[in-house]
Order: sequence, then structure tokens, then C-alpha cells
Amino acid sequence: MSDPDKLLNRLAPEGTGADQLIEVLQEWQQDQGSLDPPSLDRVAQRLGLSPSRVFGVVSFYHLFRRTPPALHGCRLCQGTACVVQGGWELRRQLEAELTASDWELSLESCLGVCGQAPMLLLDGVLVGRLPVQDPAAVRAELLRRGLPLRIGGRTA
Amino acid sequence: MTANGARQGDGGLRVRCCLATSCRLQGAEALLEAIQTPQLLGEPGPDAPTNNPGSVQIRRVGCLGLCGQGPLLAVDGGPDQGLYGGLTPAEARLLITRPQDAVAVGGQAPSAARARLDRRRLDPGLPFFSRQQPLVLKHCGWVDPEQIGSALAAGTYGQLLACLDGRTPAEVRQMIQRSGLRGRGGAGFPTGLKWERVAAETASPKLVVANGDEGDPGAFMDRTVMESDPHRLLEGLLIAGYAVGASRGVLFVRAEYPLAVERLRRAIAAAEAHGLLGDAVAGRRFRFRISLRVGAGAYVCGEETALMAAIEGRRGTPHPRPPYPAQHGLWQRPTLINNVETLASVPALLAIGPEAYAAIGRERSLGTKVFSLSGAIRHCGVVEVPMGLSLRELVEEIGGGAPDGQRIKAVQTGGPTGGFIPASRLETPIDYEAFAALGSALGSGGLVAIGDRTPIPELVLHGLRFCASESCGKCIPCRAGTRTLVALLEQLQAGGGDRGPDHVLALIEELAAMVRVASLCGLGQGAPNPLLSSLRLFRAEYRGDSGAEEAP
Repeated sequence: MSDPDKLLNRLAPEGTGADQLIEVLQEWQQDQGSLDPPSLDRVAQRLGLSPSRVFGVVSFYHLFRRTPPALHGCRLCQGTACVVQGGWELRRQLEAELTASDWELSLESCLGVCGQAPMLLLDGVLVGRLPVQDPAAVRAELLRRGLPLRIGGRTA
Repeated sequence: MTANGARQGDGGLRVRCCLATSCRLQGAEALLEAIQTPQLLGEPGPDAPTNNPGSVQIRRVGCLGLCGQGPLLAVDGGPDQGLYGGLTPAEARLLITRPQDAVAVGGQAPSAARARLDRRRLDPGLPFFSRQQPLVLKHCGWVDPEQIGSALAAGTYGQLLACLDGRTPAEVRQMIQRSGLRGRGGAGFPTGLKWERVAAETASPKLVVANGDEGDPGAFMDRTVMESDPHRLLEGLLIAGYAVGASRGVLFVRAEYPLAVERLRRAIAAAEAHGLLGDAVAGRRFRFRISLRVGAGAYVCGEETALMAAIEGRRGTPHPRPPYPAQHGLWQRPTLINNVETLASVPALLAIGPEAYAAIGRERSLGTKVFSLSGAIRHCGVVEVPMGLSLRELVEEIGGGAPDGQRIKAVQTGGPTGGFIPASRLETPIDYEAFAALGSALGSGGLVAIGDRTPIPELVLHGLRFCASESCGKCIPCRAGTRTLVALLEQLQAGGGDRGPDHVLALIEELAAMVRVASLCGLGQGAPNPLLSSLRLFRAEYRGDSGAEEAP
């Protein structure tokens, strides 16, 4: 994570145009993890934009986040191919069993790897073709892959 | 085999390893490492007889098509020739040993190991391979997408040079008109006509935008083109720029496709270094530069006016047309916006000639179309077929039909703003008008097979929730209408309340029709389509009747 002043000078040197706003915010989030209010103010000031304009862009796009991410990410695909192959059941199971605070479950509209449906990414690693008709087998497979699922309030 | 200059060479073993997203996620890099440095595997030991690794020619390529059975690896020539799916690194190691020297894998005797390897070999006679007609995807899986030399050897940029040297911009536009090419992003607007409109504008500079914001769930055709053959897209963009008199191109790619972004960046830099982009393209009097912009996650940005807003660093909300991008586009300049597949089709159709291209297909749907097949279908992946082929051939022959124990009850085309085509209508030809006549849409080419175990109302509700969450909020019919439709469908699922399901269904149909006509852009106009289409076909399922079957 860089020093915010240095980061601002690197990403948006004086004279950077307003049409670069999304790129600057993307790089900022990549470096800092999220876009908190002080960051947005800095960017707005540098690009000569109103805070509302910058906030409007940040709140519009799904990939911008205003709070820091959890240590680990479980990205569950909910694209059409995944849901017809059992993605709904997988979602219900993960929402019930993934309670660890250092894991964040996010739902993706389509990751474009439809041949592996139903699939998810654990910290960027693909886990596909999960046997959703057997929740115990899904749990065993995901536990083996390091996802701390819980069953009945205790770690399975 | 010298079809695009990619398969020449002698001696040694020639291997192509797919490193597109799907195979990569299925372990393609470990496979590559195993064949590049077999000694690292430790087994069977450094003294075992193997081909000299130096004599194994490995090419890192893009999509080999059958994504569902990755990681994919192709061997060209020799007794082991063929395409292999789902190899483990140890099995891949076997491939680069001489057949007579085959060694034990996983404790199995050599013959058993060989047999295991043979089971991984995909049948080249599968209709999935034999029934395709690759024009846009011709070089996918053959060229190394990260090496411009590989693309040049395959003839990429040759059509650009032919245009710059031998054709006026008007002649190029005429060729596109004669080919009958229509927008492959879904709307199906005649590409040549669009080019003429931008060319007719006198303001300058003009721009060309490639729409790579492929957001339809179940669609991954454009990702395949961008990841596997990025130079073909750049060539199409350059030819479009020349034909309409533009000097700048912008590629807009969704952030969910990091590999496509990386490879396009690399391709642009390589094209610049080779003098194919810049103040004098290939030394000719044609100036063209390309920049790349990455989306930030908004489905509506696939709509052209929203896409321009996103490139300008604003909220991606659409605006009513006119003015059209051809007059007031990006930064208020005349702008041509084409989908990735449309632009990649341009060099392909010029290569075979517009008349030959127009001879493929039927009626007003000419040439080839790329589809991504997924869902309840045996062969998931990306295919390119001639327009006019029947859906049955695409789904049941090329796609292999439903997996064991399932039956396909419908296919969804056109993504969340398309519709359903029931199994009984699979004789329908692949054709913009024929799909529209059935209440669906050809769309961008995502085709999801729906098995008989999937409840259609639940799937439609899922798609509507997606549209509601992706609605940009600018116009009320879409913003409020999609949410109300979601609420009504939930009410229907709960039994319909006091006045029963028929009353709720009537409300749904009335509101859906209103949202369709009153919304500002294609998202709101299309959001009710799967609902209306499925209400016609599978109404009994909505009324909660068990054993529901499609309407005759």
C-alpha cells in the first residue's frame, strides 16, 4: 500500500483529465484495497471534480468498493449456466455455512467459464463442477480446498 | 498442414497448449510446466529415455474450443496426434516420451498408462469439431496470442495492407455492404450502413470503438477472440478506421476479463513497435492509434451510449438516440461503435471475399456466427457455425445434446434480454429474424441449454433480479418496473396471494408489456423478454401445475 500523496502524484499528475476518473479510481483501489471518503476527496480535488461527481461514479460501478475487503474471497458465479447446473443450491449452502469473518462471499453475474458450471473461485483458484446434489460431498471438497465451512455452528 | 503457416516445421514433437482463461483455471500452466521441464516431475528419473525437451516445440495458444474438457493440449503429427482433454501433468509427461519408451504413470504399467492417455484423446470426428466453419476463429488455437510474429506468420494484418494499398475507403465500405455483415453484438444492424453513416460525417477527428463489454451471462465468444487472437481484432479496428476516416480507436473491455486485457495491451504495444499503429501505419499515409479502457463492472455499459459515458469517466447511463454516435459520439465526435466479433469478422470476410461470405447463411443472416454453448449440454465451449444451420444441429449434434440423465427442455438465447426457444422448435434456423419471430433474440451468441430439472419461472426470476440490479436507474419504467416484476413473480411463487395466480399473471403481463415499450434503452426494453417468452411457452409452470409441459 503506497503513501496516498505519492500515489496521487503517480496516478493523477497535475493536468489529468476528468475522463481518466475511472482509471484513477481503479488503480487507487488496487493499491489501497478500497476507496474510503478521504481518498475520494483527494481524487476529486486533483481532477477538479465535485465530490458528488466522484461519489456518483464510485457508487455506480459494481467493482468499486468503499470498505476494505476481507482477507480471503470466495467468488460464486451465478451466471445462467451455473445456476441451471446447481448454482442456486451452492449459494444456499455457502450462505448458511460460510460464516468465517476473514472470508467474503461475493456473487458474480457471470465469470465466463461456463464449461465448469457450477463454479466458484477461492482466492482466484477455480473449483468447478461441484456435486451439488450431495451437500456433504460439496462441503468435503471445499474444506479440502481450504474454505472453512461450518455445519451446525461448529467447524465441520 | 500449412493452413495458416502455423503447422510447419519438422522433427520433434509439436504441441499446442491452450492458455485461455478456462483451461488456465483448470491447470493448463502446470501442464505446460510439465512438458517444458519434464525432469522437474521427478518421476521417472533423469535417466529415463525421453525426447530431448529441446526437440519438443511448444506453442502457447488461445482457445482450443472444447472448454468444458480442459485443460486442452493438441499434438500435431506423429502417432500421438490429436487433441487431448483433461490431462494431468504426469500424463502430459507421457506424451513427450517416445511411444516405445513409455513409462509407468501413477504406478500403472506402461500399457495401462498408454491406454489412459488414449482415453484422454478427443475424437476428431466429433461434430463439435467437424461441423464448424471457423472464419473469425480461424487462427484461435493456432497462433500464439502473445507473439505478434505468430499472428503475422498466419497472415494477420494482410487484409489491412491490401486495403491501404489497393482500395479506397469507399471501396472497403462497399465490400462490407456486399458481405451482408450485421452487428454481432445482438442488434443486428447492417455493419456497412453504420460505416457509411460515420464516413458521411465531415467533422474530425472521428473515432472507432470496439465494444468488448461482453456482459451477458453465458456469453464468452468475445473473450475467446480477445484472448486467443487479439491481433485479428486490432486489424479489424484498423480497417474500420481506414474505411470511415477515423484516426483513433478505443477498445473497451470488461474488467472481469483480466487475461483479455493483458493480451490486448501486449498486442497494442507489439503493433506499435512493428509500425502497425502510429502516425504512418505500415509506412502508409494512414494515422491510427488505439487505446484500451477497462470497465468497472456495469452490465448496461454494453449499450453504446452508456459505454461512451463510461469511457468519458462518467456514470454509465444511456441517453436517448438521436443524436446517434455517428454524429455525436465519444467526446461529441463522430464515432463508429462495433462489437468485438463484428470487427474480427471484417478481415475474415475480406480474406475470402464479400461474395463468398454472403454465400454462407440464409436470407438476411449471412456469414458465420460464433456461439458459446453452456448449461445442460455435453460439449461446453465456443464454436463458429454458418448462419442458417438449425438450432438442432448446433445443440444436439455440435453440442452433443443433454448430459446423461437429463433432457433439454429449452435453450435460452440472447442472454437476460433474450428469450427461450423450446425443444419442439429446435428446427429453427440460426437467423436474426427467425429467432425474433419466436420471441427470442439471436443476441450476442450465448446459448444456455436448460435441462428438464430447472424450473423456468425460477430461472426467469433470477434473470429479472439481474436486470433490476443492473438497471442504471435513469428511466423509471426500467428502474421501478423490473423491481416490481421481481416482486410480482415472488408473490406468484408464494401462491399468488388472495386473488390467485391468474390475477398476478395478468398484472405481470400488463407491466411487462409497459416496461418493454417505455424503457429508454435495450436493457429495460429487453428485460421482460424472457418472462413474456416463457409465459407463452411454459405458462403451466408459472401457475404451479406439477408435471407442467410446454404449450403446443
